[in-house]
Amino acid sequence: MANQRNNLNSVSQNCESESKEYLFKILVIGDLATGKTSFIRRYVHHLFNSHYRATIGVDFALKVVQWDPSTLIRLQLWDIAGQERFGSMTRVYYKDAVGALICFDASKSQSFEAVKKWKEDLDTKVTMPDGSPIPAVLVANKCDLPKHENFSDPSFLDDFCQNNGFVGWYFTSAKDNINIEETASLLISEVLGKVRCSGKQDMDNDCLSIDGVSYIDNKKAHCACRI
Amino acid sequence: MEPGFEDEYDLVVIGTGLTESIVATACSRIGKKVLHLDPNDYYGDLWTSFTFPQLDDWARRHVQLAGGKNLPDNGSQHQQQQQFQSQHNHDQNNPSEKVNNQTSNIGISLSKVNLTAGEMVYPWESGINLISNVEPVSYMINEAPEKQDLDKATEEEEEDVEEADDETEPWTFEKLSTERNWGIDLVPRLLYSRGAMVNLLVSSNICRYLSFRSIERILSCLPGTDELMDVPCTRQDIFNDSYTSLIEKRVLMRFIQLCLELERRPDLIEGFEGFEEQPFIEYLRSKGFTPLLQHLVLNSIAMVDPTTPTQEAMEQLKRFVSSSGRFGNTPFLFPFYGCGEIPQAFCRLCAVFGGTYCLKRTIDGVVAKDDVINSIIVGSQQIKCQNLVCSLSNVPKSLLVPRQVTNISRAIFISSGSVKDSQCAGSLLRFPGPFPILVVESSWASLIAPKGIFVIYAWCDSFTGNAKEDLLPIARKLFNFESGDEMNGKPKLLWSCFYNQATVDCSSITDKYQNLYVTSPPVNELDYDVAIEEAKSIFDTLLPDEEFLPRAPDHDEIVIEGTQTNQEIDLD
Ligand SMILES: Cc1cc2nc3c(=O)[nH]c(=O)nc-3n(C[C@H](O)[C@H](O)[C@H](O)COP(=O)(O)OP(=O)(O)OC[C@H]3O[C@@H](n4cnc5c(N)ncnc54)[C@H](O)[C@@H]3O)c2cc1C
Ligand SMILES: Nc1nc2c(ncn2[C@@H]2O[C@H](COP(=O)(O)OP(=O)(O)OP(=O)(O)O)[C@@H](O)[C@H]2O)c(=O)[nH]1
Ligand SMILES: [Mg+2]
Repeated sequence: MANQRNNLNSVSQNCESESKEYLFKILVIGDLATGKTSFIRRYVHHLFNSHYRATIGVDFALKVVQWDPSTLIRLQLWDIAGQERFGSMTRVYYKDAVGALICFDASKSQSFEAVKKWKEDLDTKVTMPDGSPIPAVLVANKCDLPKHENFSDPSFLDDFCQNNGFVGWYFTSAKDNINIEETASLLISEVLGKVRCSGKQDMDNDCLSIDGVSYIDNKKAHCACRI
Repeated sequence: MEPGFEDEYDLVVIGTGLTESIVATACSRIGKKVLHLDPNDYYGDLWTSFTFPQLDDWARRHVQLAGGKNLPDNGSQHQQQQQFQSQHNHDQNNPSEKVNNQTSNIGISLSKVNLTAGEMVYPWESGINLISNVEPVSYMINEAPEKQDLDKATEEEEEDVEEADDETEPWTFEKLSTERNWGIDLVPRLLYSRGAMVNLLVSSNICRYLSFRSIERILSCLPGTDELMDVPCTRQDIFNDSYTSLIEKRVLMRFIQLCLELERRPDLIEGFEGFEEQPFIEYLRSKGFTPLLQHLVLNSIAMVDPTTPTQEAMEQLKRFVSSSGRFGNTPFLFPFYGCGEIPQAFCRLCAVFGGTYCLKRTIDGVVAKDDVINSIIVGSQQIKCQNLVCSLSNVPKSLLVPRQVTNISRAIFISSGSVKDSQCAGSLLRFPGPFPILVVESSWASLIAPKGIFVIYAWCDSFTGNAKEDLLPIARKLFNFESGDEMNGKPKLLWSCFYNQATVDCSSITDKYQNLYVTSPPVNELDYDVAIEEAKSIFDTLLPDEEFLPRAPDHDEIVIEGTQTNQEIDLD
């Protein structure tokens, strides 16, 4: 675990096989009961039930994706922890994220109204290392239910994404497993594009961790630490 | 849609300052149901890190609160004072003003409150203001307004393209305000790398949310001068140091060896060569320490007064030496993004263990029977709770017993250079005296300011009662105030803010309710020992038989309900 944290968003290159590994922190946000947890459960654990007890003590769900023969991606999907859901997330939640899924319930109009707010909030709290906004995909969930009339014309959501800086959107259903993989793939490819062209993020070299490991050898002045 | 809270919690906590956050997290961690509210729209209360615009707002709000009076500035700041007042004026409809405007009306109609025999409803007003004498001043030259407008678009574009330009282009108030990467602390701290906070973060595994940068150097202001010297912290430093003579180097080496020995043999401190109760300065003199060495050891390493008993001073030295060499040259760490990350890291863990968070919210009233609070009222909801923890500023004045308050003087300086030639240093500096002043320099390298910017903090127990009077002499030693005079080698001061922060030990500040616990405001300390001690003591009173912040499992140690991974433990 310590290892993963230290390499957050970074690339570890294996010279022999030319293969690359990435770790991406992805935020899953949106209004109450839009299906954030269900989406993650479906994507990571291939499960759906209509109610679960909250899992206590977890920051994120981890999904390992073999993107192509030479690229392995570890996706950390950060749900809104238990109850930060009143919109009061800590900066710890946003820190170092490289992508986001913003969910709303396509069977109702209500939760869509908050999407813009979530996107604005996201963009003020986290950016890519180069300062650009992190890629975000709009998730129109619960498409197994009858869609609200606002969303019957797909060009409406196309325009909305264009105007609000989303990289794209999907009608999804966590219940019937519709477009879950597609949504994740779209986000991964966007994040990969950004990370690859910005090159390796060097912040981690500059960062000490304090989880009991003492880096006594690492005495260069600019080094940072995780305790 | 306004989501509601649940009807019952074990613990309700008001204020997301560090002490309250530790208590909340410790309770949530061992399975208690916690509701954590804060009337502010940001985490951390006084323990927060602000962006520059947030800080500027905060300062101006406090100036207004105090009647908006500006002490006369000296002539050189005339221009800036004007600027300050004009901002002040168009600030009338500032949205964040609303934050402090809590209504004292109870949102639920009294007939709807469920009262059993003997219960009464009491309104809950926000408490005392701990901040006073706030004086923000901008020293930046503002361009002529027309020129500014014309340049604005191109200026912003250029910013992204070439960061190097920042150094030549003068900083303006607007430019600082549009930058986003800020983490300016109201209550800055450093962590001893083997101190109480680091130990707690490691043992609780909350360290997974934080990262740190080591403080590179300890500076000392040579007596009678404005000159800052690097205090040698390692063997190499001592060898290379140009201030100390060969003999001094040898004395210092031998002394550090002794301190290291103390770590292994704590028994040596007791009965310390007959000096244990004697002033430390006497001991140093007896060992042939020159005035320079005395100055360095007393002020920069032990950080004690000359009259401190030797035994106590040696304990301080032990603390310093045992934290040295763990990560960097000095014993100190500073969090990336600012100290405000620390309370938030606790809150995140609290939430991950089921704690409910809501900012911009506080309680409107309590339902109590005799001296026990049975439930609280939040908006239109009545919520049962077993215990209530509040930070001092969230407790109604009427519940407090009179206490002697300590006043801390604080200052924040934003400059475009380091106090001593460096591109990105983190530094600690202590000015001795009857009221010693601590100075912490942090820089953009800790991701608390845009590239090239330094934020320097100073604080001390107030001796004049006014932060500016206490700290201005130090500011004059460190910074270049006048814009024309850049030849003295000091960094250019861009913005500063002086303020006083009151503190008081709150362990028995109210006797009204037996299940109300009040946490103290930040005290004058460098690390977090006092805050942790207080949080632990409240926790131990609430839950005497429970472990305080046991290690939180990492992701790969937790099983998700319904999956088949078996190396993991189900916590439900
Ligand atoms: C003004 C000042 C001057 C100082 N001058 C000196 C000085 O001249 N010389 C000095 O030694 N200290 C000096 N110190 C103290 C110094 O900063 C550290 O406290 C000291 O280096 C800690 O290391 P240690 O070896 O004594 O103890 P520990 O850190 O407990 O280490 C014990 C032993 O284990 C080794 N070790 C520990 N961890 C590792 C690791 N990860 N990899 C390899 N080896 C490891 C160490 O090298 C050491 O031999 C000074 C402090 C001050 C304030
Ligand atoms: N029909 C249908 N129901 C869904 C779908 N996804 C989620 N739900 C239901 O919607 C409700 C809320 O789902 P959650 O996954 O808990 O939503 P959430 O966004 O995590 O909610 P909070 O954590 O409370 O903010 C549950 O009853 C789910 O069963 C879907 O794709 N189709
Ligand atoms: Mg959920």
